[in-house]
Amino acid sequence: MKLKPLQKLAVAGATVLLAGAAAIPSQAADLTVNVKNLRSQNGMLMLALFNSADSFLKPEKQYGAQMISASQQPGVMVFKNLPAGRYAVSVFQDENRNGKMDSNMLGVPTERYGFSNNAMGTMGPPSFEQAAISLTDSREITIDLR
Amino acid sequence: MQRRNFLKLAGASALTPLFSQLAVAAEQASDAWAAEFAKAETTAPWTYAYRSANKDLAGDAEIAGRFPAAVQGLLYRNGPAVHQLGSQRYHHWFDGDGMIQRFAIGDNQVRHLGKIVRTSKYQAEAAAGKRLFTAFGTNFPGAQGPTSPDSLNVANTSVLALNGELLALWEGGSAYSLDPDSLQTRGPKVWRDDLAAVPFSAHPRVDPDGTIWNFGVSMLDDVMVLYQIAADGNLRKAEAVKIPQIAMVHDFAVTDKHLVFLLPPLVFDRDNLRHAASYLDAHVWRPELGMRVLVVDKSNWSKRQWLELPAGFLFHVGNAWEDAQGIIRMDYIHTDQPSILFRDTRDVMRGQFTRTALHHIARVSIDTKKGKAVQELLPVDSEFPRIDPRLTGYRHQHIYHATETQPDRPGFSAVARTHLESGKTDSYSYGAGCIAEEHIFVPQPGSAAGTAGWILGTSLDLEKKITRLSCFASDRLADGPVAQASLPYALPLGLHGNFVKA
Repeated sequence: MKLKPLQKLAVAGATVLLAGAAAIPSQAADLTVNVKNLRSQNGMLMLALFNSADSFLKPEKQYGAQMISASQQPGVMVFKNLPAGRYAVSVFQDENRNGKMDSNMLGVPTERYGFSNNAMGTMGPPSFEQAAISLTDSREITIDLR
Repeated sequence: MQRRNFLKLAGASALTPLFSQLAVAAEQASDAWAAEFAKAETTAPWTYAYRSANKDLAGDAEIAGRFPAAVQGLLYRNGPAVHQLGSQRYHHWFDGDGMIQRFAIGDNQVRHLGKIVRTSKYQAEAAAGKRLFTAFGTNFPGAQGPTSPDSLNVANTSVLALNGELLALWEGGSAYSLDPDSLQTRGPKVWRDDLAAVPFSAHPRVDPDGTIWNFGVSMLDDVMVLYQIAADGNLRKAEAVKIPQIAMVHDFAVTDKHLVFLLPPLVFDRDNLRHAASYLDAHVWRPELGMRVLVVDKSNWSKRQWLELPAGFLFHVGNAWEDAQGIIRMDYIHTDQPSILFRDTRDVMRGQFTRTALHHIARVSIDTKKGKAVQELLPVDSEFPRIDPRLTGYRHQHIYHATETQPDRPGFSAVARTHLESGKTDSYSYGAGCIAEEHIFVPQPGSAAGTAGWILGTSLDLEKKITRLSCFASDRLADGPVAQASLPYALPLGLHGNFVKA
C-alpha cells in the first residue's frame, strides 16, 4: 500500500517510535472483502476503499481500488498491508462494463451495490461512520449486494 | 433539472438516521393495532373488508342471469391485501402488499384467480416472516428505510393490460409486470434503462387511438416524470419535469391536446420527515398554495402553463376535454382537505370507523387564454369515477361512480351514473350490508362512443362474507344487475381495475 501514512507518523512524533518500539503492533494489516448476493455473473465487481469521511465516495480521493470479474467464485478481494485505522468499502457490480455505477434519471442506482457493515442509507448512500470498520489486525468482512 | 448524483450526495448522511428515529415512536404501536383490530372484528362486521389476505385464492362463482357477450373477457382488479404479517399490522389501508384479482367472465361462468404480487419487498418479508421495510403510513422498530423507490413497492393500486403482459400499478415506484393468465410476477417493468425504479402512477390514461400517457412523482426530487407509451407497449418518450414544491398527485386527465394535472397543496416536507411518525406524516397541508393546475402541451412538454383553483384535495379525476373555444372542461372528486388520507384510511386498520369528510363532484373550466380556472361543486356523494373509455379526452356526459356512504361504517353501498351537466343521478343500491367497490364501463362493441355499454363491478357482502361481481346496463342501473356472479369467499376490499375483451 502507500507509504504516506507511515511517513506522517514519522513526522508527527519520533518519540512514539522510540518509546516502547518493541511493543508497537504491526502497522500493516490485510482487509479481505467477500462480496455476496450477486444476481448475475456479468461484468466486474468494482471495490473502492476510503479512510475518511472527507474522502468518502469521492473517486479521486479513494484510498484504494480493486476490481475482479463478477464470474469469479467466490468474489473475494484483498487490500494488503493497510495501516491500522478506520476504513469503509463501497462495491458495485458494473454489469455492463461501462466503468461506472449506472443510475436512473433520478439518480437512483440501477446496478447492485453494497457497503461495508452492509450499511444502508435512506434514498442515498450511508455515511462514512455507518460504513466504517476498524482495522488493527488482518480481518475479513462480507458485503451483500443490494 | 438537478440530478441527484447518488455517489456524491453530500447531504445523504443527514437523511440516513431519519427512519431509525421514526422507529422509536412507533415501537409500542404496532402490536396494539393488531390486537385492537382483532377485538373490533368480533363486534363490527365492516372490519371484514380490511382483514389481511395472506394467501392466493382460486374459485368458481355461482351465476345468476347471463353476462352479455360484450363483457365476456377478463376483469382485473388490484388492491392492498397483505395488511398484516405475523403480529405486525399496517397502520394504513394503502400499505398492504397488492393482490391482483382476475375474473374470467364467460357466457355462464366466472372463474376467479387471486394472487399476491411477488414484489422484491414481499418476497424478502415473507422469507423473514416479518416486516423489514418502512411503509407509506407505517413504521416498525428496526425497519429499513428505502434505498430506492422500489424498496417499498407494494404494487397495490391498479392494473394496466398491455400487449401480453399485465402491469400492477402503484405510484411510488415501478409498475410490476405479471403474466396475464397465471398472474405470476415477472418483475419490475423497465421501460428504458434510465427509468428503472422511477415512479409510474396508478392512473395512466389511454387515448382512443391507444396511446398511453402517464406520470410519476418523485417527492424527494421535486420532479414529475412524464411518459408517452405507444399502443404496442413501446415507450415513445419519457422526461423529468422539475416542479417546485411538488405535491401528492394521484391521478390526472388528458384532452386531445393537453395533459392536465391538479396539485392539491399537500407537499412533502423533508425537514418534517425527521419528526414524523411515517412517510405519510411528513406531508404537510399548505392551503395557502391553493390547488395548482398544470396544463402541458402533449406535443411539446416544455410548453406548460400554471393556473390556480381554491385549495382542496382530490384523489381521482373523471375526464377532461376541450370545447370549441379551447377551454378545458374537467371533473374530479373533491374534498376540502386531506383528512381521509390521515384519519379515515388509517383508523380502519385498528378497527375504528371515522368519516371526516364527504367527497363531491367538482366541475372545472380552465381558460388557458385568460389564465383563469373556476370550479363548481355538485353535491353528489361520490368516489371512484369512471367514464366510457372511448371518450377519454373527449366530451363525456356521464361519470359512473360509487355513492351512498353509510352512517355507521366505511365505504359506499351503491353505484351511480351522474349526468354532469344536469347533476341528475340514477343509481342502484346493494343495501347497507354491502360495500360497493369501483365499477367500470365496458363499451358495447359497434355502438357510438358515449352511448351503449355495461357497468361491471364488485361488491363485498359483509353479512354473507362473499364478494360478488355484477353487470348492469349502463343506462338502466336502477333495474339492477343483468348478471351476478357470487364467489365462495370474500376478497379484501380493493381499489382499481380494468377490463380486457376476450
